[in-house]
Amino acid sequence: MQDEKSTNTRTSPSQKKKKSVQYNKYGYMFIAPFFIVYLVFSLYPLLNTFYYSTFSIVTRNLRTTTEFTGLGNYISVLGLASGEKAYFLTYLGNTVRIWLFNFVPQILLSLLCAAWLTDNRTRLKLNGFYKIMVYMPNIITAASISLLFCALLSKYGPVMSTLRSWGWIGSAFDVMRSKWATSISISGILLWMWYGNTTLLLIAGMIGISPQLYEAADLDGATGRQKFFKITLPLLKPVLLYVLVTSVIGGLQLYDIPALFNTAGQGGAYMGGPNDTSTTVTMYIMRLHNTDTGRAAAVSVLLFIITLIISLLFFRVFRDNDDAKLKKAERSARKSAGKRGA
Amino acid sequence: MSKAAKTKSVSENSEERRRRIFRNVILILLCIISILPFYMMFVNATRTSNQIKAGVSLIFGANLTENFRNFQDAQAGLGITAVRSMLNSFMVAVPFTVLSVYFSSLTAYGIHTYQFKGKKLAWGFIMGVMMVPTQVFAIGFYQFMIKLGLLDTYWPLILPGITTPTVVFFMKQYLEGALPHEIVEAARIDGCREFRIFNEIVVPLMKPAIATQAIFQFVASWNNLFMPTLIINTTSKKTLTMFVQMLTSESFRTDYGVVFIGLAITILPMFIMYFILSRFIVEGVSLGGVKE
Amino acid sequence: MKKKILVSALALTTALSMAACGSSSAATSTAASAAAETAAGSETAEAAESTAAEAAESTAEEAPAEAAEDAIPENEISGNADAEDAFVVWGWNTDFETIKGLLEKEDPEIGKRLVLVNCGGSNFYQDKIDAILDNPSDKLYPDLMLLEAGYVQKYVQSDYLLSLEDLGITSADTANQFQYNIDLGSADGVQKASFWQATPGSLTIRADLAEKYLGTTDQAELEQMFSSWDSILEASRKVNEASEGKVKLFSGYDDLKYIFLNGSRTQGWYDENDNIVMDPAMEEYMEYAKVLYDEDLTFNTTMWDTDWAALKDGDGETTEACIAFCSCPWYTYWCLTDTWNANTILVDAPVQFYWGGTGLAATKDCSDKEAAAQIIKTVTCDADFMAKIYQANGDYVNNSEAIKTVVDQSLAGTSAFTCFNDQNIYEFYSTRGEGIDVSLVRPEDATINESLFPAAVTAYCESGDMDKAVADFKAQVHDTYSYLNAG
Repeated sequence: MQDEKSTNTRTSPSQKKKKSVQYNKYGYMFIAPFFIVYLVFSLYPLLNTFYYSTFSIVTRNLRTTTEFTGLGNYISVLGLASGEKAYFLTYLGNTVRIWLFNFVPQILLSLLCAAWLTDNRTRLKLNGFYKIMVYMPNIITAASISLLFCALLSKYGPVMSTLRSWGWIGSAFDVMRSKWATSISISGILLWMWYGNTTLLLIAGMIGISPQLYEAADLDGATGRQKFFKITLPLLKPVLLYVLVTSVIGGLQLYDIPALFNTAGQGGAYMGGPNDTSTTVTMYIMRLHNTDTGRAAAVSVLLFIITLIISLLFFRVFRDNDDAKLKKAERSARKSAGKRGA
Repeated sequence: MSKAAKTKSVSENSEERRRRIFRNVILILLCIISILPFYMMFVNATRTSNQIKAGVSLIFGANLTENFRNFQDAQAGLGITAVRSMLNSFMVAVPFTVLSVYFSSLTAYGIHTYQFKGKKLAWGFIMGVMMVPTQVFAIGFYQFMIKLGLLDTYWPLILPGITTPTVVFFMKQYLEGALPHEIVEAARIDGCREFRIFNEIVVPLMKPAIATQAIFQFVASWNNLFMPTLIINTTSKKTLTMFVQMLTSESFRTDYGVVFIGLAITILPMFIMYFILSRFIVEGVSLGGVKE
Repeated sequence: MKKKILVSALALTTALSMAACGSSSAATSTAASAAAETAAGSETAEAAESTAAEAAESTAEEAPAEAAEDAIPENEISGNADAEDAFVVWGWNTDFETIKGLLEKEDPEIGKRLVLVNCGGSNFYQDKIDAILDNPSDKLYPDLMLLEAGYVQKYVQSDYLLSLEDLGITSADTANQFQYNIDLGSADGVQKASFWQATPGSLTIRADLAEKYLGTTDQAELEQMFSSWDSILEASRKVNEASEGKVKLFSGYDDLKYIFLNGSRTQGWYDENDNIVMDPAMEEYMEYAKVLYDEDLTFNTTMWDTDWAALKDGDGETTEACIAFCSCPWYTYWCLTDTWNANTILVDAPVQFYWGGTGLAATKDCSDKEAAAQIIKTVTCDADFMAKIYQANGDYVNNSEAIKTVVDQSLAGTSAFTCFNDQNIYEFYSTRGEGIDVSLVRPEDATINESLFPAAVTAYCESGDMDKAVADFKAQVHDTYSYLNAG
């Protein structure tokens, strides 16, 4: 990123500047397709979603009635009117619970793996092999994985039958009927699918840390643990932040796994069992979208607002980083200009 | 560095060795955990329903052909075959990937190379929408597609490939390291048109980045369940993920053997692809992260 | 050079796939798109397949392999949808396939024109067909659609179906249909959907396990054991004790819900003012389920899940098994496995009930009303033809005359499925299903019966708090169908 500024300053002597100005109009043409398609396929639908969320659009026996309700849909899904339950909050709660039980162990496990795989002192021969293996679940179709675990963990499926015969679980225990077992299973699947990805990202971050810092610490006689907590972790902050934000946003849209894991025999109602405790926000959108478009739109908008807040936070932090870099780049540009002048 | 490593390895004591063994054991355990569910799936695909119900086995059974036949019968009642759904997914994922990497490179190049008014704003916008998931505008998108008459076609699944902000972000980062401005200038002096410069000089330069991003975009499109579920209605047009969803329907739930073989068939293509391309993929993930 | 080839190959693949996207514009109907759209189980499909393969061969390397594998016959759409006079029928399984075969024999003119669209699962059917009903110009717009008891009312009460009267079918034609099936397909006294299946309910008992744990395979004795909810409870305890939990009488309390829903209830899920109602019979069922749950007398499965299906075939020694399932005619030939062949005893449930049933209805913009009328008449009114349906697939048909013929002449079906001691399925069912009241059926029943209500039952079993379970259930129904009041 710092090259950009410095190269431009270096290679744009005044006589060339004119020419490049005339080229610069191409910039618009190059970025036009992205923005046009984004406008049509994302921004317009987004505004549309806002618009729909202010209408009650209810389909009954295939007859749709549309009526302006203002904030009525929001009041309904947030359970603010009498007799309404706050299903949006319930499902948001489910989503956050599932995400949390996946993320906390995930980040710890990934940090451990990444630390081991980048440790130069205790080099592991199978380094590359480990990376390939732990990342693998991440790429396999999540829908298939969810069903696979559903079949493996169902009450009379192979795993539970074996555990039962060993006497590890009671005869009545059933993952699919236990709120916590279902929730933790879904979190477990997510953890299993994503810790490899996080590990690789952390490794990239750790490799980027200057080796001199560690060498200096070695000279000071620092232990491995001290180096990890005093050097690695603080310098890894941006990567950790990136992992956190992408994971939160990904977690909020959680769909594939809960939509298929414990929803057997439920007549396509997008209801995550047992008793609706593993239903996520996006499943709720799917449930409502055909018969109650307005409220589905309201749920989408609420999800958008939450996402927006998180992204803005991310954007801010990122821009601060960028600004720092920009300053650095400017400094080096000035320096090089000064050199040339001299 | 190598000298330091050497001295260290000479002085490596038994504690060091113990630590190495311990780490290897844990990591191998993690590798086993990664592969075990898939292994169990393949094993169970060869066993009878009653054998599967009786418990876990790590030894392959003899019921593969029978299960496969039952699976064929079950999918005959479904209205679409697994292979057909893979072909459908392929027809969505390939153009999506091509559009995604090409237009993202184009956008990234446009922002990287040219100085124009609003450039900063454009870049800020791309960064800003990077995190906005499709799910939040799905309702508006769905209604809009009905109006355009594009419901139940692949267009709504393919065209958004042109706007993948994460790929633009990645491409721009890559360009900063890989495209010295001099090359563009030199090409201009040779009389190349701007678009030709991009197509014939920049794109080949970006090949490594395009290759890794292509893999990820292909996988993302191939694995997408939410959007196809919303858009596709006709059974014969269903994508692989929707086929997987249909494995939950009555006809497949009759027999554990059928469930497992069905899953094995849907997973196999990705499984093979991963082990062929794993090196690039693992590298690609590392590149995709935030670099300092 | 090489790069150029690669790029053009990619571009071609893109173009090909895009052309195959199935955009409805006729202008882009290239060979490839035609191939992709018509890919079907008929002879035309083979030709189409080969053009697709050829087209693919010239572009990408992976494509030929995929296309070659694709030679497995596809039956998503059987018949030629592109034909001028194509007559499209929508369903969710291969149920109608046999009937199509019979129609082809009976009336080749119409049979040939039939195009069956199979949606691949009842879960998806409503979503998928609703989307296309608004679009009569689509070439797969249904002329006829199959409708299941759980949601038939949603369509019957809509404006999307023609009435039988519109088609020129009179009440004289439907005189032999069971009254409850006529009611099921009618709204405000106007019949729109016409059923060819009748579905009186019963229980199926697995003979080998009954012998072992209930001590008898005698139908009359078993009937006695299943004559009241108390005696069923007793039998459940007996089986559970004798097998030490390895075998249970029922797979889950969920199996009993249709007996209460379609047999004991006196009110639908909501009244004429759209207030959600919990019928006392349903509370009774919840209490009964709780007893079964508390004493661990079933495996607590949900209907249609993998465990439920798998428990049908358990051996009771190494794997869990159950003895009785909720049943009806289609269940016997559609759902019972080899384990049950010559091993099934049919007995009555404590109350008469029905379970499911499939009807036919013509859509508003049906392309050929005469053909629609003729098919509906033949399939759902013609006693001779309906007797043939029975002979072809064992279906219990919605025609008292046809049933009389089958029983009197003891016509043999081609279905290989038989009961224990050759108990006659038709004879058994022919006396059942009288006095069934379907006025309780609501358009939303499928979703409520299959997902919302079972969740409430489970909640009650686990918490023991009836008031909360009922209140939550009502809130949930209201949230899903906001026009219904939780009160």
